[in-house]
Amino acid sequence: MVEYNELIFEMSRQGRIGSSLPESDVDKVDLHDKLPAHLIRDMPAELPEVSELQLIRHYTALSNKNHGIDNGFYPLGSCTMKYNPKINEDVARFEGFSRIHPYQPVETVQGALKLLHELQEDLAEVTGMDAVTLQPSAGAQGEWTGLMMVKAYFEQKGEKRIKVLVPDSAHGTNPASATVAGFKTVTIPSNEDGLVDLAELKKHVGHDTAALMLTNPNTLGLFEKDIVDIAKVVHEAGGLLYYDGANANAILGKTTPGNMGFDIVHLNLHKTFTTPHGGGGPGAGPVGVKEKLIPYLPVPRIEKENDQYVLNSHHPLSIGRVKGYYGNFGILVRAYTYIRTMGPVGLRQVSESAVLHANYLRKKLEPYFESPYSQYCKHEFVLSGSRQKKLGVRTLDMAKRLLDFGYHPPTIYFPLNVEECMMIEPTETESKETMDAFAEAMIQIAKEVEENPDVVLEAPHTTIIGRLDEVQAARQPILRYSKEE
Amino acid sequence: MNKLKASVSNEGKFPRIDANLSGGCGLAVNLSIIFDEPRRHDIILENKGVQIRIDHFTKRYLNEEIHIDYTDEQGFLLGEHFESGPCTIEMT
Repeated sequence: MVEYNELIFEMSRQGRIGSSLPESDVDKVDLHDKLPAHLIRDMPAELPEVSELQLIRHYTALSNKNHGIDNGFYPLGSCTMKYNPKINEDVARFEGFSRIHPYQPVETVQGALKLLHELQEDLAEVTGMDAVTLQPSAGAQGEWTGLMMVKAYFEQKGEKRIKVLVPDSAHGTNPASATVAGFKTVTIPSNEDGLVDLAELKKHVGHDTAALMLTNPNTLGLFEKDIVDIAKVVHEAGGLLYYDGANANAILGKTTPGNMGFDIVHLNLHKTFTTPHGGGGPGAGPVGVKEKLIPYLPVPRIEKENDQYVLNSHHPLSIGRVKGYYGNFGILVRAYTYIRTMGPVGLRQVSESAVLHANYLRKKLEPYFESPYSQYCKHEFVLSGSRQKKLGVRTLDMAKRLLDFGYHPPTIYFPLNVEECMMIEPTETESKETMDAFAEAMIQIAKEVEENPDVVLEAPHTTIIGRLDEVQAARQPILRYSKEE
Repeated sequence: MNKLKASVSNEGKFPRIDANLSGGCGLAVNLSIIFDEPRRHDIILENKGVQIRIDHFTKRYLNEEIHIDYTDEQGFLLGEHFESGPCTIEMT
């Protein structure tokens, strides 16, 4: 088999083209007559000149080198790398969905609006919220949207609340979103069981608290059993409770953030609802709210008036539009398809299996790695590489070694409150055989650390490129190609 | 160096330059001086009578020259250039 390891720029040959165009029948234009001199390049752009076949082989070879859920186990904790059913893709490609335009009159896209409206209602039911917006195009944008609604809510009430509380196990996006939305963040430490320390929370909650951002189960995979008391403390101080839906895969159909006392929820459709994980998009981060926050939802809102679906922008307290058009429609179609395919019973089975799988794998691996929290986990769990650290091998080394077995490593060094952390999320879509094989690989690596550490320290051995020098990449990044370099 | 020597005798543990990672979506390497027990295959540097340990993992993140300083306010400082973000290599 031929390996295509050249950059496409290196394959370039002067004059080679990938398509044949007819002779231009437009007179040549002198750019200097049309553009200011400083906007005209001195040298031609170094665009690769390749044939169509070279192009196809190059990008097909690159795609084959990629690791995705379709070709291997991907237990990246907190990211919920579960299988994306292909029926989602079939439906998203229906002409009625894929060939419509956002500028069409609403009466010509009633089917699409009906789908969006029903998805809003489904997500409201799943989260226990009263209304949902589908506009935000990612989880983090959903967080920001939710926090802007919090801000608008308190401004309308005439209250100055500047603080957002986040536990130390929170996703990094939580404090980042709060900061971007103009709040000051306060970190609440976890207790020895890995849960929110209620006494510490009480110390920090006050009249200036706007919200507590929490994911439940938390990033350690543990259910915040004091959630009712936590909600009470925050609400009694006049604050709101924000649910980061990153871990909703663990509670689907079993309970809802609404039941737990949350006021706002964002969901990551690429996690819980099997839309593709994009490297930067397109994505979707719908936000659900309780009734008191409905006036602040982004506009336009998709509403039903008599038998017609409409886009209503007449909501004067709205925070405004947060995304062009109405969200990433194709992604929303995929999530809708998944919900319809699974049904209520299927969605409940998702969380039951996700939790069962995580506990099965946790039990298999606990004898070989430190397990900082011994209670039952939800959909994911954390292990610590502290035992191996004493033997001179780190979690990063073991993660690299896992590549030799064909697995994507777990999330590592997060959450920050666990030394040499590995956060493992097998998801409900993996088989027992896959989890057993992964466990065997992890156990073999733990044994190698004791008996033959060099094989771990020098890993990976089977990848096209061996151990990358991330220090040089950080210190001397080369971010663009040029022939001179 | 005097502070390092004093710490060794007080703590009964060995000084070590240690790389700790914190991650999530990116990766940050934090270098620090700690006092702990020997690890397998430690590299031992000796300077003015003080032994400083480095494990193989940490060695990847060190340049040939590394400066150690101490202030009462900040404790031990470690870095290539203290002026520009000592102790951390950000990789995101």
